[in-house]
Amino acid sequence: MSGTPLIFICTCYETLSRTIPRGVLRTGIVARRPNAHIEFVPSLCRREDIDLIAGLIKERKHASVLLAACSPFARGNVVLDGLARRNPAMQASLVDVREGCAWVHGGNPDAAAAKAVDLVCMGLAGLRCREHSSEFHFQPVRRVLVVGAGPAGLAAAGTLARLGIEVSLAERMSRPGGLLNQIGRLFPYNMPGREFLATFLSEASHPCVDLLPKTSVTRIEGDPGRFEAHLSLEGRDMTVTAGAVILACGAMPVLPQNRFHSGELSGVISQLELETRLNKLEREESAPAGIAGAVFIQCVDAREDARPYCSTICCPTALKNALRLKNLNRDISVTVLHRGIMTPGRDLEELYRQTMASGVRFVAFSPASPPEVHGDGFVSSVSLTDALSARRLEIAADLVVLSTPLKPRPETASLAGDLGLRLDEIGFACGTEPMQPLVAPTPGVYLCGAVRWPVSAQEAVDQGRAAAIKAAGFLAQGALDLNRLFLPGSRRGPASIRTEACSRCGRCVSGCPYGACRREKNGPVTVCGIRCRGCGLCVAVCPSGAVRIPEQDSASVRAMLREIAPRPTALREVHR
Amino acid sequence: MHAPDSPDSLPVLVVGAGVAGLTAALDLAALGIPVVLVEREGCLGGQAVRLDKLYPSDHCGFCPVWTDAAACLAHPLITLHRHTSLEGLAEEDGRIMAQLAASPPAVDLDACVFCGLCLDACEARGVPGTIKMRLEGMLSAPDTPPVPYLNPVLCSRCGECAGACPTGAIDPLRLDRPPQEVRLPVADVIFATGFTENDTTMVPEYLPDSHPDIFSALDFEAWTSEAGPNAGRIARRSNGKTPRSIGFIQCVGSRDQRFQPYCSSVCCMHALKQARWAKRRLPAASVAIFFTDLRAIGKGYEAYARAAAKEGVLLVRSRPGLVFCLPEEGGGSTPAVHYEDTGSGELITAEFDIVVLNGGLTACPMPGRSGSSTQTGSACGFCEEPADVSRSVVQGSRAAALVAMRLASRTGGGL
Amino acid sequence: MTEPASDILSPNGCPEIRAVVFACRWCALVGADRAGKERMDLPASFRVIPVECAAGVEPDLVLRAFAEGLDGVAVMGCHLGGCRHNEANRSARLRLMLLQDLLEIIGLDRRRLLLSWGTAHEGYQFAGLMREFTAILTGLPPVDSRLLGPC
Repeated sequence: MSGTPLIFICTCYETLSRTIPRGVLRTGIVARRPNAHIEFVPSLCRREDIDLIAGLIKERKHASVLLAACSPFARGNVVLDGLARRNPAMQASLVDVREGCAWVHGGNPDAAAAKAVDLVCMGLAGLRCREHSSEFHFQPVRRVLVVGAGPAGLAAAGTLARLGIEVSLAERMSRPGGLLNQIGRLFPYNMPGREFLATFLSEASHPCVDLLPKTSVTRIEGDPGRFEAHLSLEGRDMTVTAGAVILACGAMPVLPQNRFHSGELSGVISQLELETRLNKLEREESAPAGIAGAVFIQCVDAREDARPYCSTICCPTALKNALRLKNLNRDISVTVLHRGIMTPGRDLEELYRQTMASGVRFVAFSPASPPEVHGDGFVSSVSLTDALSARRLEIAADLVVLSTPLKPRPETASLAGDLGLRLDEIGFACGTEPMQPLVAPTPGVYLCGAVRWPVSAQEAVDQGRAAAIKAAGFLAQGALDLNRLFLPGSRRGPASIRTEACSRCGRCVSGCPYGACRREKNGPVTVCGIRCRGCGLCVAVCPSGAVRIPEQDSASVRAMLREIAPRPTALREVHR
Repeated sequence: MHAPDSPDSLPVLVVGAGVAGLTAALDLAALGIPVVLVEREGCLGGQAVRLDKLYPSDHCGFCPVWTDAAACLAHPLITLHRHTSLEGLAEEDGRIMAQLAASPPAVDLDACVFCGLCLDACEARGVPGTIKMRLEGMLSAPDTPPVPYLNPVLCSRCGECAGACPTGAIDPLRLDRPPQEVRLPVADVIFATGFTENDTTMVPEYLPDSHPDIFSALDFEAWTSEAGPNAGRIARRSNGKTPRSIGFIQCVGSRDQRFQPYCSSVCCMHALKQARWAKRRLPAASVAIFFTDLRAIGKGYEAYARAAAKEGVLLVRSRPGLVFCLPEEGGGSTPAVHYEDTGSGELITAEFDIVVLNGGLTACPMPGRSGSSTQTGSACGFCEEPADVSRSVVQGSRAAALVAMRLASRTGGGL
Repeated sequence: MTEPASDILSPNGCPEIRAVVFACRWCALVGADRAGKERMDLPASFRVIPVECAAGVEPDLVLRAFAEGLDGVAVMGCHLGGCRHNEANRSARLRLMLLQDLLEIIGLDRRRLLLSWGTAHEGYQFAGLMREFTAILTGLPPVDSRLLGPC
């Protein structure tokens, strides 16, 4: 409990006094708080003002200060923030008597004055019970676990290493690179995949990076700053302790199964298989034998009810490979059957134009009447209805290439669960859209690359770098909030629990949006300080009043309600 | 981390305080790297914060962005210069010199406390209507609008407002002062200058300026915004009535050899968002989008497009040939769209009480950016490659990462 | 011991409406701030208590507010899907809707507990809600706090 607070009332250069005269305000407050120390000031928000107040508080040894001023969104937060930086031990509260009172009740000055008095007294009541949350010591382990060494994971690891942070880079396959190992050329500039991969492999082979091939991550426990990851290397178990985790385990291609007779007819292959064939042909500098006409079918097993999403990269990939076919043999006729060519932006649209210019044909079809593939043993033709002309077309084809989407890996779900990452309906992991797409609600947890959504190799690498700097910032700042929830003067939490009152019902544990409330076996609930964001849900669901947010607990709200309640004292005492 | 007085503690210059720039600035500052953030406008948040709603969340553009802006303003390592643009970069003694032009604002939003005394003084003794408390979806300080706005055309420069202002925030004489040249040594630069909407008048077959009910996309956004002049109600600008039909035309002047050959990437989703909101607010209205390719590619976007179709938004694959005006019963006229319905092959002329032209977006220039970004200078956000908010902020972080790595390599170690 | 505010009667002798608004400091407080910036004219019936999240509003404190004789309680949070605290407002909404049912059971009109999920973030929206709420509360009989028993 703090002693008598200092009350500063800002008159905003006397504009406030026009609606609420100083005298009326002072009389009203003193009637309810005879010992109040009230100071009227023309402004609170200039640096000199904040310095002055901080000085006065120290000098007069007050432990708490109430500011009656403008809205937190105007200058209120600036003042609280400034005071907290100068004097972190002090308790300060702000009540909005301008936007929240004088400016909305200008037509009724008596009511405005009464409300202002109420607001000040509410503030004082809350301030009496206000406490700082206990400091928790946060010293994160300066190591990041990156799960997956595809392009995203490699870029993340390389970036972190150069920022002086140790990395454990776990890759379940025997070599890093992920899907990029199978890509011979990358859109939009046809850069050799091997070259692109080599850049990032070399970046990630840094003394700070501990590459762990053939290692899968089975479970991640612990808390931000000290995650305990259980890894399995060829049956051998080991653990890695890391301050932060970046999930970069990618996605996997959908196989065409028997769509468009791909299991039955020779010559009907997946885009990935075409990629492999093209890589070989380009290496050997030979032309594809026996192919006069190739037909690409886009959106196979994508953008339909079972898989209602666009996989982003299939159109640019088809265009790139169509051009590669043309480059190997200009005489091959290539037709792309599509439901819309998805090439947004500058470079990809340019790729589209280039592909058109090379003689590749484009025919749109509607999902209601998909193309039909014909053949006997070998594929011979594809027929469809052109959606733009409604004409029926028959295209001769000895090669049919099916573009299928990427889908989430099965292991994503369990790791996401461990880390508190949500999954969308399809199973891809989610960050905090739109401003923190790579950041999980749990501090210290990040995601990048196709585990979040199908992306090109370049985009995956960009996201890897982005996730790395987020993780680095977390390890550097620690307790300071990267989700932008707090300014120093307005931090709430973490929640604190009175063990003796805890009934161990576990409602706070299941309700906590951050997994901060937890219970060991049959023990009482404890709060993980670094996870707690002070939302107060635990307080609202606790049946025994065992948990509180020290900055604004039940006692302070009760006291505030009492300030504005109309019930006479006598009745209230009887019911105490 | 850099020690505050080390010779390497030159700040990184971030040009533009839109979502990409704010993100880059905060990511750098989190690593202890000082940042100078310059913004050409007076307000923070760029284009995103002016949007009524963002896709696919359908939440307002203000909320997600203001906390980043507030965090930038509060951060001890970030210095913000409003009304300042980058003119160019020069090399001097092995250091990068940023040449900035600071245009003095009539209203200094860092000093303004929104007390309204200037407004009172102007109403009383100046030219009435010169100062308005302008309600825009823009961020000034870490606060919400409205902010005082001084109309330079009406202003008589009498200075009554300056006399009344207790903090010296407003001074009409600053309107006439030329920009101040400032030279600042910086360690590195991140360009995040964003985009502007193309002028749809360049596409003559769509008669963009001929009828008040033919809007550009951002124009329509502002007109129908919950924070806008109609408090979220959709009304015809010509006669104030409720529209019976709204047509969105995509790729106006973009993906067009005559004008902008590339795709602006965000307009399809933007139109879907506006169309869904139009349908929500006017369930009885007929709402149609004329598209070339409906690019709903990002996370959750296809689902958003499907939901639009389910809610009754008509999706027509067509690039209309003509927009003209037909006279309306009872006076006035209404726009009409002439197009081929590629599904049936029919040529159709349909009236739309409101037509929205999605004209494509152009990246803002990046002064002083050399071709190679390997030595110094990284770009992020729309100015580099058309991008939505999600991608722009990722690119902002990526640019910050590249800069942080370059700085680390110069100091010969980690941070 | 501090004295509570005494009964304030409006000029025509009817008790003035007193309501408390728990406003989350994200969406809801922005609306209240905007109403102020735009100098909207609002009834002086309500007092705002800013909270970190609507999920932190304790149901028993809502009941206490009625027990103390307040006419109405408003809880304002963010749009569903827009909560800064990882969807905590969904749980708040379910809890408080149950509370509205409970109010009816104990004899209070459910409209005394106003819930707003992202519908108050513009100035005119906040103003509209407050005016409407005040009008509803004015039309209801006074809270008989004996109904609620000892606190």
